Amino acid sequence: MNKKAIRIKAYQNMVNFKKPTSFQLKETYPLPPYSTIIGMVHVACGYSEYHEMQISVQGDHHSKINDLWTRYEFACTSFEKGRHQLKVPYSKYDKKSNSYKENELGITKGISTAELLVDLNLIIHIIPESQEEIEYIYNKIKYPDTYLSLGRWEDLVQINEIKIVNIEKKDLEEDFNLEHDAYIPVKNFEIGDISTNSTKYKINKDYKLQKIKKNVFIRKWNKIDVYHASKINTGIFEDSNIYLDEDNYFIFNA
Amino acid sequence: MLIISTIRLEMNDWLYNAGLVGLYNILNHSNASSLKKNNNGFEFDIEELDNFEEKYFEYFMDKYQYILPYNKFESLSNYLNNFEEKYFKENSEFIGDINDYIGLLKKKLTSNSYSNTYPLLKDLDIDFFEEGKKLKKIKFKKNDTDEEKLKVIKETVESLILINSKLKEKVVKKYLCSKDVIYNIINNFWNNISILHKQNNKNDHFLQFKNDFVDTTLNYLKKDISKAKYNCCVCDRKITKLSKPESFDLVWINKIGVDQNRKSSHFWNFNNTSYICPVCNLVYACVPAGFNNYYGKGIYINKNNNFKSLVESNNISFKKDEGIHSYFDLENFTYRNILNSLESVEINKKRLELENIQIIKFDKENSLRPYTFNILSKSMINVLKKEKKRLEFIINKYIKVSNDDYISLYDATINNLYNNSLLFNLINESMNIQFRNDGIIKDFLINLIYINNTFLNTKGERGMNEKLITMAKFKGEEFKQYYKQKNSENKINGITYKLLNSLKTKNKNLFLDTIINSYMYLGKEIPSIILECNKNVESLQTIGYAFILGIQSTKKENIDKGGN
Repeated sequence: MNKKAIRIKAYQNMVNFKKPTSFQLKETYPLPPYSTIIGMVHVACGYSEYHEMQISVQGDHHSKINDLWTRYEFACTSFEKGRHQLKVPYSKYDKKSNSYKENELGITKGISTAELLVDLNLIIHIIPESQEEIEYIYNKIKYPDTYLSLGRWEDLVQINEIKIVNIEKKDLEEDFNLEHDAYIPVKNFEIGDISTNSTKYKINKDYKLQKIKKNVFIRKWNKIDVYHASKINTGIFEDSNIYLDEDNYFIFNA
Repeated sequence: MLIISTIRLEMNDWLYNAGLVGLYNILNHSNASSLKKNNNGFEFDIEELDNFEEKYFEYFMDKYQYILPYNKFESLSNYLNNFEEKYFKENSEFIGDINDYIGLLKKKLTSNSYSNTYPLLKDLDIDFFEEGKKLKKIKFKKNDTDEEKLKVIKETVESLILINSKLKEKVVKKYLCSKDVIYNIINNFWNNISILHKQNNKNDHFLQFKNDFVDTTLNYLKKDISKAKYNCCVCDRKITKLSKPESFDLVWINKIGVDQNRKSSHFWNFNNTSYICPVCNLVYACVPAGFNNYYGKGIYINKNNNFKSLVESNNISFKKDEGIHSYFDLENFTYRNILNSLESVEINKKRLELENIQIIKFDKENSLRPYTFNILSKSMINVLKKEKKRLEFIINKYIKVSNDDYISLYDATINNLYNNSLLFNLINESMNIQFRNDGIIKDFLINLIYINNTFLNTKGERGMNEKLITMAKFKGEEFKQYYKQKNSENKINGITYKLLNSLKTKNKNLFLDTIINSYMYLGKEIPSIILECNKNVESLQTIGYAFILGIQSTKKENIDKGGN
């Protein structure tokens, strides 16, 4: 059965897709991870539970720069002079006295650096698992209730084109070079189908909540091995089995 | 039974990569036979981790042998031979040198880091601490005769030779030198655990390192973890528990990890998820070996398109004859390394465009933000490549601002280029300071003008032909000669001052007015090079500064004096 996908062509001016282990300097991935895009779609659609979907990301950025940002750090602990820069009033319900207790919480405020991608052009394919959702997602992204952002909340995304496309799995008839940088999931190709000299990432896709203590949950991520394939030195060889959309864009779905 | 026999590691973010480079360097240094590089990382047999603690410290001791304090004492022994002869030949200098050594030796031998180690050196028949305490700098009394003086020196030298011979012993070197490594290099990058934990500072640091890093890794690899619930946040390996020694946090890495209890807002729903497996823990412990360090400063290039080039661009030798005498040398060597690796690639792949390459500089002095991040852009690489010689030339050039304040031209230039800003402000400031201090401007500033011009050219073709700059400087020299011929040399400084100010404010009219006035006074033709100033602001400044350098040039004068 032929599948459909929603193809978005988007532009972002300066954007950060934070790597999970970078705290002091917010480092960025070169393209938005699957989880970030899935998050955007879910926000746009107002979904509160995970709807299975596959994503393909391609895109190019012009350069990278570092910029300052204001960092707030806190753990809902009491205000301590000398340690915290900000004081926030907070009232907590006290069971014993059956009343609210006034307290002051402390927040650390400071500066830090974030890596930003400049002039990022994106081509994103969204393939929902249940194909009936296509129209709904298409409309919600085309006419969003609130502005859409990809990356940090302030990283607006400008959608230049959105289209529902038919996608089809084909055997390539000749060798192709990539036209854009892309995340290519390692498992999508057999050895010998692709030649690339690129960095490998483990990027997040979706998560399940995992209980570690009473009332304490953490997110257990489903990570996907991808090449960040650069258009300069990546070729896909003939006979590779690959998804293409009706306008002959590659789809590297994961 | 071993479940995993080969460890395969893959590149990730810059810090992890630095750790990988470090681990690779250490294993490579110990001639690990099973070590294999591939595109994304490297792999090695688990047996290579036997005695890893020794390999770890050996790597540092070998690489930094000319930097670590311990090795200064070793080199002392050559100096002590034939001391009588030396004393008579270079009297005061010899005493001064010996006294310097004594000061250093005394300080180190009685230091906490060394004295905590002495109990571990069991079979030693010398008490370093006491010997260190006893050491005194050589001082003479007023009426001492040469013989008496020699006696004093002899006594001191004898005790020095004794200490020295003991210091040279293999075990002593192993323990003391590795302490230097810990407190000079490793503690810059991580702290407060294992060998750097305050409670452990009397323990055998080799054993401590083995327990905390090597054994945990080996135990982890031997365990069956197929049913483990959690995952390492870096490499996604499975982990059984979210506590030591099954998994670790990142707080111990200086200024990288966050305090999970006080700053849990970094994590989703305030629950920390950044736990790493023992293998990654070992990799992070090797971060200091990935950086190239020079007295508290370090540099690391994250050129991560493949692992081979990553290792190559960070491979710098600190051997004595390699010529690393300052941090700037180190920086320069590093850039040369990247450039060399780029050049070899470019021949193979003409289509290759330069990727952004991340440069991480480390500075111990900057306790709040020890790491600075920069990105080596295409234009920066071009400038570095084209201006290699001129940049090397300005490495040891300083502008004296006040008695204890200097501007390092190399440092300032590189910083400006990084930040993508032109060098005109630096040129003006340097000229101004030199002009105010001595009334002359040093010739080497012309290098900055050339470098800046190349930079302009790579940015947007706003620079000019280098010949024009040379010409402008020459015309300036000529200008000065005209004034001399008219016996109005005293006017030159006033004019220079005016020109400098007009360039600083980018005031073309004032600049041209001054020049036209001067040439009218001289009754000479205005050189055509001045017309170039009309093109744009950058040309005005480039030509202007070169012209001023010519006016204030000291070169011609020297020739004149020689002639007379």
